[in-house]
Amino acid sequence: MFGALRRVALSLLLIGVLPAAAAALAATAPTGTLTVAYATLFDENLNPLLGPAPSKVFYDVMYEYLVYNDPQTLKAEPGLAERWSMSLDGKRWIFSLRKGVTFSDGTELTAEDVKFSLELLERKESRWPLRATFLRVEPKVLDRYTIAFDAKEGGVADLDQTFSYFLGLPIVSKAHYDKVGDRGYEEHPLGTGPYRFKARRAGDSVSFEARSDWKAHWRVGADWAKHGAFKEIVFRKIPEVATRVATLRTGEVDIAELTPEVIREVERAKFPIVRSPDSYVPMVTFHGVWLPAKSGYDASLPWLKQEVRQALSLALNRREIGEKFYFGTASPAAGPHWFHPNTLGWNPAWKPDPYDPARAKKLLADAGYPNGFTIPLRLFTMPGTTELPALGEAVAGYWEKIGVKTNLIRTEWVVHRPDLVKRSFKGATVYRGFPQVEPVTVWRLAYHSKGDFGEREDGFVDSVIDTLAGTVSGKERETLARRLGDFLTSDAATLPIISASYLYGINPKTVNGWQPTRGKYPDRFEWVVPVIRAH
Amino acid sequence: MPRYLLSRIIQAIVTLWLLTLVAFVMTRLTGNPLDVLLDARATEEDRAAVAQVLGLDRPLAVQYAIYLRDAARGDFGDSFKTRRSALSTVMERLPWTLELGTASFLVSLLIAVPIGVITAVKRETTIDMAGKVLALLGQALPTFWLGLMLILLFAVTLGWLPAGGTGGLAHLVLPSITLGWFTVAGIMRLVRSAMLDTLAEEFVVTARAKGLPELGVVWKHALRNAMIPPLTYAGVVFVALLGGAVVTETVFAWPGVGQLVIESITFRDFPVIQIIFLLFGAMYIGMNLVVDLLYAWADPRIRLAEGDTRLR
Repeated sequence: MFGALRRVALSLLLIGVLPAAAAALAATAPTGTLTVAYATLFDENLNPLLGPAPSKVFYDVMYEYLVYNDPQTLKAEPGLAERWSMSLDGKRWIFSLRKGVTFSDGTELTAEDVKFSLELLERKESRWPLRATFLRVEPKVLDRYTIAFDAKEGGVADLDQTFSYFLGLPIVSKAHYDKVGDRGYEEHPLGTGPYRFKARRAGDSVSFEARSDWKAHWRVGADWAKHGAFKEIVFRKIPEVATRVATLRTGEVDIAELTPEVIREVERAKFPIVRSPDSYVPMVTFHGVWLPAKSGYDASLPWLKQEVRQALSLALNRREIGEKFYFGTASPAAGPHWFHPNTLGWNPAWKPDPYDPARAKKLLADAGYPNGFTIPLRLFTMPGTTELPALGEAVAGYWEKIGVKTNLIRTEWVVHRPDLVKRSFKGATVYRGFPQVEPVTVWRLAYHSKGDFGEREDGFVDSVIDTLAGTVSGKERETLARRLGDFLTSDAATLPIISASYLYGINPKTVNGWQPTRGKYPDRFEWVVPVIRAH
Repeated sequence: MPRYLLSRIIQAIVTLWLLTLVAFVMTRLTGNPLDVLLDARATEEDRAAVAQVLGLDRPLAVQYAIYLRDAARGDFGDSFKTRRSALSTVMERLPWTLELGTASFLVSLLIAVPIGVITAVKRETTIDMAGKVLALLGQALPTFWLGLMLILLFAVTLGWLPAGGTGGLAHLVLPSITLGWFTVAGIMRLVRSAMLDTLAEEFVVTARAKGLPELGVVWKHALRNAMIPPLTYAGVVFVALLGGAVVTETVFAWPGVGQLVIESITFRDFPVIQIIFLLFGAMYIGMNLVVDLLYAWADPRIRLAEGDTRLR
């Protein structure tokens, strides 16, 4: 009797408990495939030595960084480095590494790997955009889990962002790299991230699979166990946005990069849109406003005059651009290039310039150009901002209304950038900036007379940036940065146009949640929460 | 025939050599790859070091001689961009282009030949008019637009076929129709006019007078004779389909050589661009050679003319 009851009870228990346990297991173990569609996979390189920053589209699931940023506030958070500090003289950074972190081949991460990763990107053939910045420091291994970066000259107080996630240093395995070499590493890359490289189909896709030891992974283990994760991530290249929308609608992809003109179609089809708010600010930059001592300096360029740049700003109808060009997904922007709300140096008093063509014409006349002038305007696309050339044509249209003609030059960033460094281009571009927590590095690139881009050279600008590099006090840094921003704003050094968002369509049947980092293109795919179905 | 064959092969080799020269010079007109490959703050010393590694520091004539020497051994160098073998880089994309090109070519023939024959047989009728309009539509509609419309109809609305990418036969249907339809009108017109001429010839009249079935007269006797001009054109069309698939590849996210060309030009990836030039040139030349030989096979007069030449 009791035996029969026990069997019945056991059966009921098995019927009730086992599926629940199976469902719980299914909810936690990585499952299914996340397919992400992007317009380009860039050069599809998996070796940081060869990969420019845009390849980080898929680097970030496999490689990890010393420091991360909160996706909303952008505040620095511990990454592979548990803690870090700067010496009081601003000449040394020390990073203490997290112990027990392993590469996907099981070997432990050490300070030697970090040193090797930096030296890899310092090599002559390195194409990493921050190579020049990395060259400012000398890495020194202090012990197995501690590394110092010493300034070769001057201060390096501005460099913490350089080692972080945003523009950062992907950490590769020294032992593995030494074993397989440059060529072998491209085929067999290795990182400490939660996914490992699986396959690449040239021109088509790059795929990754979750590490089998994901439960012990320092960054995602606990979260994945709680919310689940995708077992595989496939990044697909789909150049045409209409095709990306179609593949989203047919369920062939789960996340698709979008552009503003297709937003309404995607919303009508009832696919949620994920916005990365204030992702970037398209803006006009001027070239030729250099120190008079520079070779190539031409004092006759109209845009050397502050009133002229101001007039060109007043000619832009930012509200109309937001509504018509960005289909209501963007709003008028203020502040100079590489200054963004809630980041270093931001002044809430900065407001977008109004649309005032009459005043613009008067300013031009006062500056000695009543009949306008012609300015070369170079147009090119950047990752995630393929609309920039078309926006440039719109800018040209507004300027024409105040008598300023443009010589539109379609080019590529890779062609344009060397001309900036050589200071051989005089004119304007429609470029973009995006939020930086610690933007001194990019200010140096953009504004310093020894920087790459020469957007507004001035002795005052140089001195502020140089001082910032050696200033440790947060309060003093904020004051200096604000002073620089105020100068650049009143000078109309660059003309912010609009605050726009990176836009993504997601498939609600497969993706339960995802929040990309503000201002970053694009990321956090390892945190995409899948829709878990009962089996 | 052998002398004819030999002269055509010599012509092909000379053309191919000229092509290597043109490809070599043209790629170097796109600019200095170091501007793209290196960080813009690279010093002159850095640039010189990388130029040496890539062999770009030598005089152009020496670079060309080395290129020819290595190419003759089957070594086309490494891609500047990926540092992998340039030949492998192209070869891993070529199967996709060949697959799409062949499927498009078949689609084109399957549509164009029957329409060409039917419109010739039903000359000046409503069927003739409808056939011509259908074929012309393919040429009139922009490939880009046609591709997107097919995606909307067959992938999004009906859900019958995938919207893009590769994977199987289903993935091939929409891109091959998009690409193939564009060439339908040209082939159809040639088939139609050749058929009109052939149907008026005496051997057709004789065949009909002998009481042969009309289907056999048209599809067996007339069509074989009428196919010579379209055959010549079709060979060229096939290679053009391979080389001209950039738009279709973009719309359907097809990872073929067309997209690789664009990427390689942007990155000034000389070794890859040169191989693609050479490859398509060789295919074009090869196809013309094959077509000439087929032409000679299909038209006995050519063989006879060749025989006459030898007699002289």
